[in-house]
Amino acid sequence: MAAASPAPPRPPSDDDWPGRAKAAFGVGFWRDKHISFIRSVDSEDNQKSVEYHAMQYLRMSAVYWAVAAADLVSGTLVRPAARAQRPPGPLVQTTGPPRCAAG
Amino acid sequence: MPQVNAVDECFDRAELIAFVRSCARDDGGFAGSPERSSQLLYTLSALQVLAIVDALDEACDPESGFLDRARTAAFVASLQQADGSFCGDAAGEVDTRFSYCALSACALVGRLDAVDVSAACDFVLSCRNFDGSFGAVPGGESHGGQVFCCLGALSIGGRLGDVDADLLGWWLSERQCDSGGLNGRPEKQADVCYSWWDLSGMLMLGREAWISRHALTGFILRCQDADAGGISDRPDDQADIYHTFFGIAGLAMLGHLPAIGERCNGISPVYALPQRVVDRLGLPSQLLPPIDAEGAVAPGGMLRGRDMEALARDGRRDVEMAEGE
Repeated sequence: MAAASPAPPRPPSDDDWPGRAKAAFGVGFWRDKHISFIRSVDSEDNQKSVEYHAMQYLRMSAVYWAVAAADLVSGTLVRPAARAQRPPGPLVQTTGPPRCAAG
Repeated sequence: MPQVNAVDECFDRAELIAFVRSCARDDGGFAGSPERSSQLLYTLSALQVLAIVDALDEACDPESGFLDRARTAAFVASLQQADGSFCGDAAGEVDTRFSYCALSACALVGRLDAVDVSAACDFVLSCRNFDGSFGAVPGGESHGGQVFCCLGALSIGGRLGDVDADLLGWWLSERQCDSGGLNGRPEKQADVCYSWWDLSGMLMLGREAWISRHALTGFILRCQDADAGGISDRPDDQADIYHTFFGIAGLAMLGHLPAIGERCNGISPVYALPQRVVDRLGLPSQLLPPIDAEGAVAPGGMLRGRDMEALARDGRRDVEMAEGE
């Protein structure tokens, strides 16, 4: 009796955007691994490496890159909405309070 | 839906603030590490860290704080030269990078009036080349990193309208290589960090439709370390925290992370800070309206960190395009 052939891989469904993106680009986004990597940057193990000490002069910037990277992969999940058309904005859109007078 | 904060997962907030405190100097500036002296680059990084963890006000506490907004602004102002340019520190090197750091740092402490913003913008514009791009000093070679710094300074200074957006948008779009990645100068290899330096400039100019978004998304994804995490400069190199941040920032600006249902805070292309931080602090900036691939004004401002649903929609279209290949 022939062995049952394995079930063919199921194509990602319309709602499975990580699956569809992974299939389309050939690689997914490894969020949890990036978070472990960010955590390891200042770890005791890492502090024994030559690279860690060679980079000490810019440690403040390295801390900023790490904190900003962790912040970017935070927040709430986004539910896609139907495409809304909005009118074009003015030529230059200024945000924030009026600029201070030049010096 | 619950908020998830990976900053709390990765860092102890009190330790972060203590580290920034250890780098504070009497002149109002901050150093790159505790035993060094003040530098403009690290002064900006220090303020950015405090802004992200919402600690600017507590750092200014007269009893227990270590930040004096006026003194920090005075430190920045002391580095401005007669021609409007800025040095990074007492060593005296002039570079448009420092023009950006100066204006961004002054905006973060709410003291843009401490420096001559108009002269600073005039100097930045004097570093523009025939190709529409920018160098470190007048006549300096055009470079993607300088484009971010110069456009960012002009955006904060309210002078983005003085740039030839079509010419510079063309130069930036020419930075996309066959690999899909962006380079910093003609004939150089693509590098993930230009997914920040070049792409943020394209967003400020509203010219992001002039490159292949899905080709760049694929390049950044291929630069991930699938085992240990982190992102490297190009595929199969060693990951580091610099390329990890700028790679994730690129994927966020491209709309890929919201498109695949990942948590993602929008990032400001001007301040390199989460958009909610920029909004909370009311930081000034300008953006040109987006132009589509045919040159028409595109509806709405997408990918600018404000409208996460627009990011999700646009990124999904990108996945659909990649599927169609």
